[in-house]
Amino acid sequence: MGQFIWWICILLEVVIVSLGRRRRFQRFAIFYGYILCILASDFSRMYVYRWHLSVYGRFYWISEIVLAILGYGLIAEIYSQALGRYPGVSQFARISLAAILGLIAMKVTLDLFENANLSFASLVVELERYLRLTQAGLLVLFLFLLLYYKIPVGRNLRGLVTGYVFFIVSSVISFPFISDPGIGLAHLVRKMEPTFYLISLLIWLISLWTYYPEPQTESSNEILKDYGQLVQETVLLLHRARAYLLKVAGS
Amino acid sequence: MNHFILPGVVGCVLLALLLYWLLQGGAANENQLDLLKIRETLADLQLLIRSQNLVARMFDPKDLEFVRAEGDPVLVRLLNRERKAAIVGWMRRMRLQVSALMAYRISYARGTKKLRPTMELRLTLEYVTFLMTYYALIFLVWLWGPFHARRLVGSAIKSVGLFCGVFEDFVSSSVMANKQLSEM
Repeated sequence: MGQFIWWICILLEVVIVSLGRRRRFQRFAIFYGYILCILASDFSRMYVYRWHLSVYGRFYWISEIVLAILGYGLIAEIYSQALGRYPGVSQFARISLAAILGLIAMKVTLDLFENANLSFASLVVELERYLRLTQAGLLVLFLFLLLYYKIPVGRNLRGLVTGYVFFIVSSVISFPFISDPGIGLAHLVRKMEPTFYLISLLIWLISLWTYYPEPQTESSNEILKDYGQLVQETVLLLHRARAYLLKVAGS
Repeated sequence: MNHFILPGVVGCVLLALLLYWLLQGGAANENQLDLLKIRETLADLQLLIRSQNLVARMFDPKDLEFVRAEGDPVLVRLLNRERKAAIVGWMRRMRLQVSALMAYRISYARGTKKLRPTMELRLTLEYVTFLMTYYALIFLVWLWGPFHARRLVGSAIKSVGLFCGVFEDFVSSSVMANKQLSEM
């Protein structure tokens, strides 16, 4: 059954990559490149497993790290597609991203120095764990910004984000079980992992099957023009309102 | 064990945010900046908080003492119910006005080129404080009745005052940014 699901996943990856050749979808170039890399890693893993079994474990973890790093490119694409039309929010996101990545880089460096005697395999697993958790953190920030600033997102991008969040959630939760096969539920989680990935692929396939234009945004110049008429009056009104409030609170 | 808790918590938070976002319809752009609506909201809020005599009256224990002196428990229950409804309605209206101001501010912030993170955080904190006070007050009025929640109403009003103060700073800084942009 597991093998069957993997073959369906590979088939879906091929279909998704072929959809990316359409001109309208080229704004998600990094996403299609990412899926292409997953496809390439699937085939190369099969090759290594068949012909060089002794190095398969090492090859598996290194390819996982490469894919996790490429995932950052995908997150950058998601951020720029959704927030690109909102320069202020985009700048705010960049500052927050730099702060988060800086903090995590510091933590990883400190941990690696502390555990300098770890084997190569354990170091790779630790690094992979940090990479996935950081991606999850960046997606939390992204969704928070979308919700807080009520930023409208088109159907294609919404599907891409939904599929990727589901993919990251399943990999973050299943990672401790996969990296340590001795844990009780590890066998079950390993069996479930392809199914979760299949769900992400199906979400991507359905949402990217048809092109939907991105929603129109209000012009920032118009907002400033309107806002300019309002602000002086607002300051005066709020000043009065505040004085009344404090008077009531004090009485 | 720590290896399981952190991924579990992060995964659940992310999934919950995703579900909430999807249920919101992908955070649709509902709060277009409308000059007329903002003016109406501000005028409404001002009118609402100007009614200080009404607020003092709603919480005045003398009314309760007077009705108690009549010795009819049905009247006491009626008074409590009526005051509770009036206070909850008044607070709810204030919350809606403040939320509307917050929504308009977000509409502006979304379109602006220069967002000020410290101002954003201050406003959000003031707003969250107001909401917490509001819900605490609603709970206490429901639990103890209207005449025991006077002090908390004072702090709720104070937090609206602080929110208005930060909002004032926000619009003042917007005037500056606006002037600089128009001069360019």
